[in-house]
Amino acid sequence: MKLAAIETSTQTGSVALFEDGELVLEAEERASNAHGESIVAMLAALLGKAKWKAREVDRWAVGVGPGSFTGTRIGVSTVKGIAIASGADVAGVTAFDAVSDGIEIAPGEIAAVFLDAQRGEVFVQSTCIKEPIFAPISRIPAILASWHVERLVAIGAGAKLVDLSSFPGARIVADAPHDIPHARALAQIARTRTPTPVDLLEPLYVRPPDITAKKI
Amino acid sequence: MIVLGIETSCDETGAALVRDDGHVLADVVESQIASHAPFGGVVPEVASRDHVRNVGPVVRAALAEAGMKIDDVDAIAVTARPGLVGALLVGVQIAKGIALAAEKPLIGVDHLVGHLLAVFLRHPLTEARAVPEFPFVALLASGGHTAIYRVDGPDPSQCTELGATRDDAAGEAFDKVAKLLGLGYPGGPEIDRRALLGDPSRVKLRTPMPSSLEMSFSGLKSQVARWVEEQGALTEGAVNDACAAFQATATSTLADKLVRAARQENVTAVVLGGGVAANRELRQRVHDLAGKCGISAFVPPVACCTDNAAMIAYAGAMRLRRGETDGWNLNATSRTSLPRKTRKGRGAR
Ligand SMILES: Nc1ncnc2c1ncn2[C@@H]1O[C@H](COP(=O)(O)OP(=O)(O)O)[C@@H](O)[C@H]1O
Repeated sequence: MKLAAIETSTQTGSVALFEDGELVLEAEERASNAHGESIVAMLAALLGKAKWKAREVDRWAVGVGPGSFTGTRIGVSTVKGIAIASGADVAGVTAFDAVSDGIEIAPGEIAAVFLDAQRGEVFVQSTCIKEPIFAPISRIPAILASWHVERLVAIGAGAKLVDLSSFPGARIVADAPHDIPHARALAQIARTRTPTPVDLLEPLYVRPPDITAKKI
Repeated sequence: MIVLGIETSCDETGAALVRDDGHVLADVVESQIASHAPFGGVVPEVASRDHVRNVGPVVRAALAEAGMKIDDVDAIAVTARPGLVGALLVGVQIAKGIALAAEKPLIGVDHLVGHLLAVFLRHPLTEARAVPEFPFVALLASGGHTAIYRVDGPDPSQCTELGATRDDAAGEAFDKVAKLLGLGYPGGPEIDRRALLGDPSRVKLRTPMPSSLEMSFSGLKSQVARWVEEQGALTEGAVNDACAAFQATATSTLADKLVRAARQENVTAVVLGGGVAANRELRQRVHDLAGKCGISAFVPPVACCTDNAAMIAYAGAMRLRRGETDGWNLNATSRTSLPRKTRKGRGAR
């Protein structure tokens, strides 16, 4: 089975190609402009190198964030277009799942994933909460305290932004590949996922839209 | 040649299949008006989110309407400018994805060129209409843009601006005046409806910049604002009178400038495009005034004037005919590729 993954929710965009569970090729690139100009060029080049055609790929994994709104939409829209034309399966994978992929949580430990949400905020996901949240970095210690966590595992580059000094026993896993979502992790997760119906594939925004009403 | 067109520049998600002779095989538009109405205008992030949700079903609906598969299409055209960048990017990336997987050429289109060429679209269900020959003079009046162009051919380099608004676009003025009068969003259709019921002579409005091909609409809006302040409580009848007066002033100035531009350029055809071209009084005035001057007026059906993907597909087909395509680095930008002449906000009105 041919599987391709695209990740554009942070400034580091990446693409990975997997065949029957083995990594074939991957590429990663930083872009300041949300990857609109670069990601499909990068994908096309990688497909060319692997001598694959886009329409031969059986499943597309895509990072759905949370992250940059525009960045995430670029990856999601690209994969939607591909799936409309080729009929391939798609699987949306959250940045929380991608960042924590492969981390063992010991009995008694509680994991929380922290992603940089810009503007002095982080996106947070944990088994202690039903839905992911976003909150000012300064509010995180109080939020964690309210969970009564004894052995915290703080995952993701966002964990480095948070003051965890009141959790001296915390285990911090924030370096690559557990810093930000990477296409390779998306692909590994998507291999065993039930596909997402393509029309339901959407970014996980977490943060509501800014409403700037036009003035008269 | 058959082109799939995709349009996501503002608050309509559109997909269409068009033949290079202008024949429309399918034309699907999903409006987001309901999403933005609570905010009284288009909220960019809300528009982008709606496009992501709607674009897949809209593209598939267009293919189904034409009874075609993606392999039957020769190229993918998409609006790449001007518009809301976040909204444009959804369409541009979808188009790249389709083009990559279907192995078809990708063509970026300037939305304004689409509007200028919409007059060449032929809908199968509407009766056959005459189409103009180049050169013609066109008024493009929408919510984001208002200008008069001399059009010598389908290439952006063949479109010359003769005059544009110095401030608000005409559609923007309709929407803002509607808001001042306590009417809903978008205001254009509501003013159009109420103007029929009002008496324009009961509200005195001055025509801005009467002797130039350039235009100004913010002053006209301010005149209505002052009138509203003077009124205190507004009766239904007074609102209708204001709608009639504003619409009469705005449409007569647009029609007058369009026909004047055609005479100045020695051109015998004028064309209407953009959402404001849906306005009944504007359509009538252009028709009447052009007729008096021996000029033919080409006024496309309303569905071709407002934002749609058929005009994008057609403009894309014209680019493909010239052998022009875009690479995977096609970007979205907020600015048009048409050269600007009128400077925003300059000089006396
Ligand atoms: N009957 C009408 N009379 C006047 N203005 C109208 C009418 N119908 C639509 N409009 C205006 O047209 C504008 C929308 O134009 P359109 O070309 O569809 O979109 P955009 O400006 O987003 O490209 C809005 O400002 C709307 O109020």
